[in-house]
Amino acid sequence: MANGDQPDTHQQDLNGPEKRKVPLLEWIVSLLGLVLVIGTSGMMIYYAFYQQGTPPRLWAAGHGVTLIGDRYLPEFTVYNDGGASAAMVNVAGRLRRDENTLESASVTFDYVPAHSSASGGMYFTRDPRTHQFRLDADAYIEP
Amino acid sequence: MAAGALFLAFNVAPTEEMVLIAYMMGTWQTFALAVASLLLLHTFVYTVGFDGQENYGGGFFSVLLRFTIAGYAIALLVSLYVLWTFGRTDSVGLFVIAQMTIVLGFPAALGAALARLII
Repeated sequence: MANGDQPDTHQQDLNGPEKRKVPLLEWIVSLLGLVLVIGTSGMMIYYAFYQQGTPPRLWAAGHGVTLIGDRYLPEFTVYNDGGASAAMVNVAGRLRRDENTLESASVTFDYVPAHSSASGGMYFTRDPRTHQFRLDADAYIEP
Repeated sequence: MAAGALFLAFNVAPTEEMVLIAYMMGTWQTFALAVASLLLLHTFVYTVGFDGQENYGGGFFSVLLRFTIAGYAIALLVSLYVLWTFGRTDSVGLFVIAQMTIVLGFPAALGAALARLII
């Protein structure tokens, strides 16, 4: 059997596979991915230098009272402006008249992350709008 | 890779552990986790001789940019989508969202690497 008519595949293998040209779209998608990865990593580095180590700064603000049945529901938001997350954040609400505390309630949030907020409410039998109503974020623990 | 990332991310994202880990980790630790995820993805898929690997050609940086970094970006996007689906991004600052995304991006990158090898 003559082998001269057979294609010289061995010679083709020696030449190596044809170099694949990378499509432009592949480069574009790769660069978009690089931007996303660098942006995310860069944000970490920025916060590491400028925000790391600042404790939680917690404060609460009310935003409206709703009558639910025969009870009043003041809703509020607790904010954490610090660089660290806080866990078991306790927010206490007190209804006062002059120096007397007439009624109090509290809410505990599992987590309030850094630069974030969480919302909640507490029920009172008296209308907070007609009394001195004070909200205090007064305790937390580190996560 | 997106399917593999989604498969693993969906399993762990509803749990509190991902969020708690993000809150407890410092920023440098989070950055190190991102680097580790990239190395894991590149090593599993393009360096170690597992079955299912192909020769993609090109130099190290070409493969790193076109496949590893692009694959990690897919894992990050999938992680962000899953976090948003489960309401983890509500009322949360951008930095914390990035931190949670990187933490969830570690199992997502592992899932993406395994999908690349298996499929």
